[in-house]
Amino acid sequence: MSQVHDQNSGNDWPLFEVFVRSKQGLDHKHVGSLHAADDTHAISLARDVYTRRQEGVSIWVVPAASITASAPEQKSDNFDPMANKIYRHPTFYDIPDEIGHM
Amino acid sequence: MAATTLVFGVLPQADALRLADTCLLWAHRLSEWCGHGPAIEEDIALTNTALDAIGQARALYQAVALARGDGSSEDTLAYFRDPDEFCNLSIAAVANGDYAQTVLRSLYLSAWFISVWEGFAHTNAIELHRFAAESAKAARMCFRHASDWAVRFGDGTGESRARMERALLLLEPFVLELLDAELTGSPAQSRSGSFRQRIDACFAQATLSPLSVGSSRGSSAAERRALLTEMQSLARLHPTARW
Repeated sequence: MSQVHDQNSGNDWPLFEVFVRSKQGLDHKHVGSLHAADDTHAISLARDVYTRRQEGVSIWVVPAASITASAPEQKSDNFDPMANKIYRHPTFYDIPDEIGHM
Repeated sequence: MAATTLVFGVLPQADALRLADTCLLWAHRLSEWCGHGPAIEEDIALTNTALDAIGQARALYQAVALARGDGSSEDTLAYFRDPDEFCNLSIAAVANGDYAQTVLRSLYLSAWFISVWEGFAHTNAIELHRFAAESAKAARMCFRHASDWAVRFGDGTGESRARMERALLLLEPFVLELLDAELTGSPAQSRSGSFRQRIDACFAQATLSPLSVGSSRGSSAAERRALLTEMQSLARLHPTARW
């Protein structure tokens, strides 16, 4: 695991990741990041930077330093599809017609 | 005077122009920060405020041009009137100064515009009602942004507080006009009450002294002349250009 670090060391403001929910009922989606003095300021700026064209009904901001990310060097260990391990893929079940696309 | 000379059916032209000119000159001052903001995020926030104010100026100029019906347009009103024909609130044309001064001007003007637009909430003139309701939203957004900064500066470091106090002194001669400007259909008394309430709450949170209103009235006529010379130069040099 590795911490996500702010690459911009010349800026005193911490980095925030911004999530916007575009419509009621949908989930918040990551739209980008910005620098801000604190969380209140980050919300205010996120509104200006990311939601000026009716993009959303709700904004979340998260300090980027609070996000723990998987390590890039473990990418292949973690995520390679292992297509040869057929037992990982539920391909042996027949899906009833009434269920439709899954 | 024919009834059609009223703007939106109810506003005297002088009032509509005062609002439009104030929006336009303030917007131009804000636009001068474009590319020079303290951080790109703030740059965008200021530009958004400027665009909102330009939008309000355009709507008012278009309505004035329509009421005049003499071939005027939003462009002739913005670009081909001479500086002494503008009737903006003086504070709108004052040069930006530092960020504290820019923030304080935005705080004062957005609080003033909130009181103006909300003052038209009960008008029967449908177009004015719609326009004022839309503009009030933008003014409240701007006030939140400016108020947030005023608190950070006032209740921040020694340096930030000193800058805020300097801005308060520099802009003090322009406050009286914000309190007693006459507008038909919107009594100055209720507007100044709403204005003071907002400013007092912000200054209290910022641990700043209560609003001080001098008896003198500052002039920004020279700054306005310089601003308009630059703003109008392109349109005057190429009057038939389209973009």
